[in-house]
Amino acid sequence: MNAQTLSATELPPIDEDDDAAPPPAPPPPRTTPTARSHASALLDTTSSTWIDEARRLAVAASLTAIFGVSLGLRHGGVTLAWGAIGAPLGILAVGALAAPALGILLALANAPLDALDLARATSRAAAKAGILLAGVAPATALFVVTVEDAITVTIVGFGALILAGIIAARSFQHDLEPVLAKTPGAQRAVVRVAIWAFLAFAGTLAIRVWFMALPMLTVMS
Amino acid sequence: MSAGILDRLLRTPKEVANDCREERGAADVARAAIIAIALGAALFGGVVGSWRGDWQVAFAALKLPLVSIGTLAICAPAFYAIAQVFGRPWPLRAVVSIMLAAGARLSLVLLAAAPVMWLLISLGASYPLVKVLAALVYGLAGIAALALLIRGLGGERGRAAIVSIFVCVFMLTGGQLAWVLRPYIGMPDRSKAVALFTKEREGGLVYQLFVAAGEIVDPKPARGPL
Amino acid sequence: MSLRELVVVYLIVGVACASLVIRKGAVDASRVASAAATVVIWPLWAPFALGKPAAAQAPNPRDTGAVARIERALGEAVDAAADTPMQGVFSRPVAARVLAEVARVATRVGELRALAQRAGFDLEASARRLRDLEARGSPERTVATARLQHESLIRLDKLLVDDVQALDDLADLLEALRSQLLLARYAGSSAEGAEAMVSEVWARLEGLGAVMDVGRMPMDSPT
Repeated sequence: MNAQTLSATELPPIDEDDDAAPPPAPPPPRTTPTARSHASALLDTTSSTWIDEARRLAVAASLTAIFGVSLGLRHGGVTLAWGAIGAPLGILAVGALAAPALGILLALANAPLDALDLARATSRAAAKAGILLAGVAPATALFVVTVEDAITVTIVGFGALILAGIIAARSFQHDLEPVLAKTPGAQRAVVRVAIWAFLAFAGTLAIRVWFMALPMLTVMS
Repeated sequence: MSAGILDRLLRTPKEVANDCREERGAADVARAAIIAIALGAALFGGVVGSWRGDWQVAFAALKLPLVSIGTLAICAPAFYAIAQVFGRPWPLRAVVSIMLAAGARLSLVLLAAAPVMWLLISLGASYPLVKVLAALVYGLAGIAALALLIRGLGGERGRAAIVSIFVCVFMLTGGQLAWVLRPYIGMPDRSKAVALFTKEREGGLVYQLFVAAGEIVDPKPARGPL
Repeated sequence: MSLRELVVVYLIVGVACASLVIRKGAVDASRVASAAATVVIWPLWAPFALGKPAAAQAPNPRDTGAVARIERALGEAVDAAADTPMQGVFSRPVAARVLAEVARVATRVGELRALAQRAGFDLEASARRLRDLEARGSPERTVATARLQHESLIRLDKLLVDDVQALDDLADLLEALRSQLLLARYAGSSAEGAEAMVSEVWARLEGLGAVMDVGRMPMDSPT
């Protein structure tokens, strides 16, 4: 390489204002932002390990604990800790007790479902519930701190928990749709019934656990 | 720059919503929106407080922006969370700027309605009429805000669920915060002194809704200032 | 806990966020105002005051790293020419002058990029608006205004593209100059080619609109 190969005559000239040039094509339309949120990373559906799912479940429990703390603001003190522990218990009970039972049922029905896939669906559902509960925690805090009557606190608290449960159930069902699609015709009905039964059981179990673990929602004062 | 953004908010809400989603000038939109919300609510509050007059004008002008911005601040995490779980993996800035843009649109409608409200109050509108008109104006302003919110959420699945849940959370939160910080119009009994807050607690908004529903079935004399 | 206590906790968190805002950069009036707003409305303002905008986070496909390449090439060229007869061709003051002019162009590129990210400067949106107005049969004046706006945005975009390309070309040239100087240092070849290249560098900078102060040009920079 020498100066001759890089003489001014060989180098492309710098364009001055080129009015004759056609306008460049506009960039292709984007429907979603290029940047993504931290929460979306928590809800990622790419392949993962058992450690990843356990971590996701732990984060979901932590987010739910924030909601529990907001419930405990009404009475303060040790109630804050009760709320922080009690709120995630419902979700963890479903994850630790109900989901494995479903796994066994689906295995008995010979459903084409990997245990890790079930764990992923469970932890994603828990994560969505946790994100929602953490999001409504400030609004819940406003209610529990400003209302005089306990019934409103109960309605608001259980309302948020039930909404989170519905969203989690919807997410769980959606994540298992590919499994249902792969299941042969006769088995599909069995698998579908099993999933519905699981959701009903999980909902009842969660509400029961919350009823016991969140006394601030059940004490009428 | 703020005036241009506010003009775009009114004329082309879809473009503003797209810009917020793409974080193109989201900080500028947020800044302009917060100022618009504060000014619009303050002016409308002052007008509404002029029914009672005296210090009520200043109190309402101070409290309505508190309610508006306070509600948005409390509901921002909820909107972000609801958007995330229904398939909108957008950064917090994008979500907050869409919400603020909607809030600014609401406040601009309040600003537009303020002179009309003032005229009616100056012509001697009664306390119940002012209450109903204020609610009507807020309802119309809410529809304008909702239009931007719906556009901002895009056409993908889950939009109806996001809007429904968020509107419920927003109305409950805003209603409760407004209940706590009342009165705005003032006490119907003009012989009583103007107060920053009402002394009566009377439960919360949800409790009062139950009471009101019960009174519809078994009517009793109306109570409580607004 | 009462509402008052909750408000106190809220404000404490607000003060903590505000301190982060203040520590984020140089303290000026706008940062102080931003911090003050953060104390009161941190759930709404902290994401903007503390976060990096998407343009800063995501790698810009138009950011070719030309300025970094130019800085590196200049440094290596100065080192290559140091303590040799080529020192008269390319010295540290010359490199500093080139870098100063490149920095001005880079600032303009940065401003044009930031402008392109701002609301109201979206090419796609202006094209869409023009198409909508034409399709709806809007008054000619309105269409003409929208067309003018769109054409202005196209020209701004072209300015940015041209500047980025010119910086890339300059980076290529300086890397070639660096190589030429290294060759001259270790193989003892003539500095003539390097002199021509330095001339070309100044010509390129002129073409980028950089202001040339001929009176201040160092004696070792060939005209």
